[in-house]
Amino acid sequence: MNSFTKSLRPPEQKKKIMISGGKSFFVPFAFKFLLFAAGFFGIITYRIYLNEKAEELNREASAIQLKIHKLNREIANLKIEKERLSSWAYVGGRIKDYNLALRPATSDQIRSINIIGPKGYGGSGMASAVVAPETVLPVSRKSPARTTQNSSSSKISRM
Amino acid sequence: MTRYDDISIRMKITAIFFILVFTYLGIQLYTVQIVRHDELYGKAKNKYTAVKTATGKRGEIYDRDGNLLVGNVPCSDICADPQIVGNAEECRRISEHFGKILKMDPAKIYNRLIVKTYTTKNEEGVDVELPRKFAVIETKVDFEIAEQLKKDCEKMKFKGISFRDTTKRTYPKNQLLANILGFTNIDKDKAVAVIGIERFFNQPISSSSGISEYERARDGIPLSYGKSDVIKDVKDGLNIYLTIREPIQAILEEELDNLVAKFNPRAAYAIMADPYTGNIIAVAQRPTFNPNERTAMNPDAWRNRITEDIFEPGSTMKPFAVSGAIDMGVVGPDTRFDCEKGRWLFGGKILRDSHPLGMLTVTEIIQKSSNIGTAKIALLMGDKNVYDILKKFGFGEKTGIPLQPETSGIFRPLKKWDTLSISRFPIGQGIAVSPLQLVRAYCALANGGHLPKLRIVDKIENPGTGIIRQYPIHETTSIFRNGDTHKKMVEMMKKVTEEGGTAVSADVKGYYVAGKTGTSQKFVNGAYSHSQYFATFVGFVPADKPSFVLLVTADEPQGAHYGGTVAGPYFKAISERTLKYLNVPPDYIPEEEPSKKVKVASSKTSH
Repeated sequence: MNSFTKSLRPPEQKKKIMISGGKSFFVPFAFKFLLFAAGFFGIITYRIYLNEKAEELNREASAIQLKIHKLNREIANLKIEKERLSSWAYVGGRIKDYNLALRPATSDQIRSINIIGPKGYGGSGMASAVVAPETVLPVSRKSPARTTQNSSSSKISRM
Repeated sequence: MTRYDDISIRMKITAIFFILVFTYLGIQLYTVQIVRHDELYGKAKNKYTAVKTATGKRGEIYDRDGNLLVGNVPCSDICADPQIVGNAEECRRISEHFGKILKMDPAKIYNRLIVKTYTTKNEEGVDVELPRKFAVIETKVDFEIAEQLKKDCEKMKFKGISFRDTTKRTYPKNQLLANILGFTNIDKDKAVAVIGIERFFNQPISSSSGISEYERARDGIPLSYGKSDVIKDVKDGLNIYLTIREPIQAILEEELDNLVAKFNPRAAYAIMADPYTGNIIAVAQRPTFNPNERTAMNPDAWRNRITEDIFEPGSTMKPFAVSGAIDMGVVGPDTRFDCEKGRWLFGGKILRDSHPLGMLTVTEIIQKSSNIGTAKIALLMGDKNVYDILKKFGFGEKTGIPLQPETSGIFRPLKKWDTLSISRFPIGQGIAVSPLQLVRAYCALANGGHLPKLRIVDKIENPGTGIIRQYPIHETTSIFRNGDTHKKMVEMMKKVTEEGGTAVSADVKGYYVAGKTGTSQKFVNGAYSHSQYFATFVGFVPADKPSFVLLVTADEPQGAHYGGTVAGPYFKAISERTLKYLNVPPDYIPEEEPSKKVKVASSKTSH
């Protein structure tokens, strides 16, 4: 069979279609490519920026750590110094050096009182402290009498 | 030749060129990546990988209330890289400045900086000269001085100087409790414990170094996205809390110094313990040392006399045998004995009293410290009972306190007793005790017959985890079978510090004191010396509810030798100050101050 095919469109029209078809492919491709490239570039740049930021923070953290380390050492040094200065050997020496008229309390200056609370402090707004039942200490050491022991809800006060 | 042929040749040449170049690059790549991979990777890794060694902190030692007794003070080792420090002029500039600040000879520093090379043998045994990159200028430089030098280095633009952070063992209270705490020496950057608590607890308080590896930037800072590995964890040592109370310890040491100043003994010691818990509140000995001043340290002062030394306790032993006799019901406080006017022949030997005494009650025997009276009481008890009661008070047994070495004293087993033993051991002759053993025994007398286990370590704390291991207080049963024995003994021992007793000087105004003097002759060259004594006073106060048991002993005091004269006044001084510190209310108002008679409310002490 002899067959002959022929395009019904003229060649110019055909070319036109081709051109318009190529253009329609390239532009979106280029656009997509550019978009992708820009996105990629953006991501990379952002990543670099984040890395830089992280490094910067890392550097700051290192500097702070170093500062903390230094401060810790300073604190440790001050702690030792405080212990040295608060020792009796030092304090006693200063008292002697400055000739301070300090003396230890005599035995009659040491006694305890019981302040019975908490009722005394509540409600009326009036501060009150009730002294526990009194006991006279024996004056002579031959007397075996002792102070009474009443330990309930007691606060100790030194006079 | 056509134009196309020309192009073809050029293309071929170019292709060959590229082939050659790429072949060369391929070979290089193969060499670098495959052949020399390990070598180059190692080199590169060394450049960006840093290995950091961190040293842990040795455990600290505190008193019961958290006052620091032994700590670690920060300091620095100053090092230099002679390759970087510069030329001779620069070295001189550095050495002069450092010498001035560190109080060192500048020439010494200069010599360390100026030597730029060192000679060593290589693998073939040939001498090779290598650059010297490390020199130590000074070790353990105080924190403040090191900080000042760091600033100076920046200001004066010194190069190649580095500061290595480290710590130094320090004893902020100097000689306070020195014998108990002990000290450490340094051997190649490692602490070596020599004596005391430092040595006994060396393992738990020792720290371990940690090693970590990380990838670093050019400036040495670890890379945030780099690899980091902890090869070994750094571990701080455990902290130890003692039962000692620093303020009371200071009182004890100060008064012991006063005793030494007045009587110049060969040695002296004092121990204070809580009779209920067995806690040692304070303990001191002379001679002692300052662990911060190593050059002035006398090794003779290191010995821990309270655990290592023994002495014949003398009359301080009497209450034990007498308490046994009272507990058994053999005698009562008013049972009378003939004290033979101070001389009594027993077992072929004469036993003497220091003063001639006649008929005395058991209370007076204790009060006046009659050897003859006590020996007669012991005879009524019999060997076995005397042995048993002394054994129950812990004589012949170690206290188990964490200080080494510790003696168990000398207390012969019953089968080795001879005829004289029963008359001599109850008066503290032929028996030897450590000061700690005597304190423990008196704790039992003060605490209703309960013999406590002495404690000097209260707890151990892990600073990393905060976990605390508390050392337990041991419950014990009473030595006495009779409930009244303790009370009777206390009443008798109170008389010792009253008029007519042997230790009026130990009486503390306002408080009842129960105690006993002891004056024992030293056994020198097979005989009892008439010039060398141990003078002791041991007791507890307030007698009826003791806050503490206190022992004061002077070894070979000069100018006096009686326990009441030498140790008594210092027992009083220490007790008086301690009772005030502890806010212990007085038992009575002294008679000489009647105008100050006061009324007090019910008492409850806080200590």
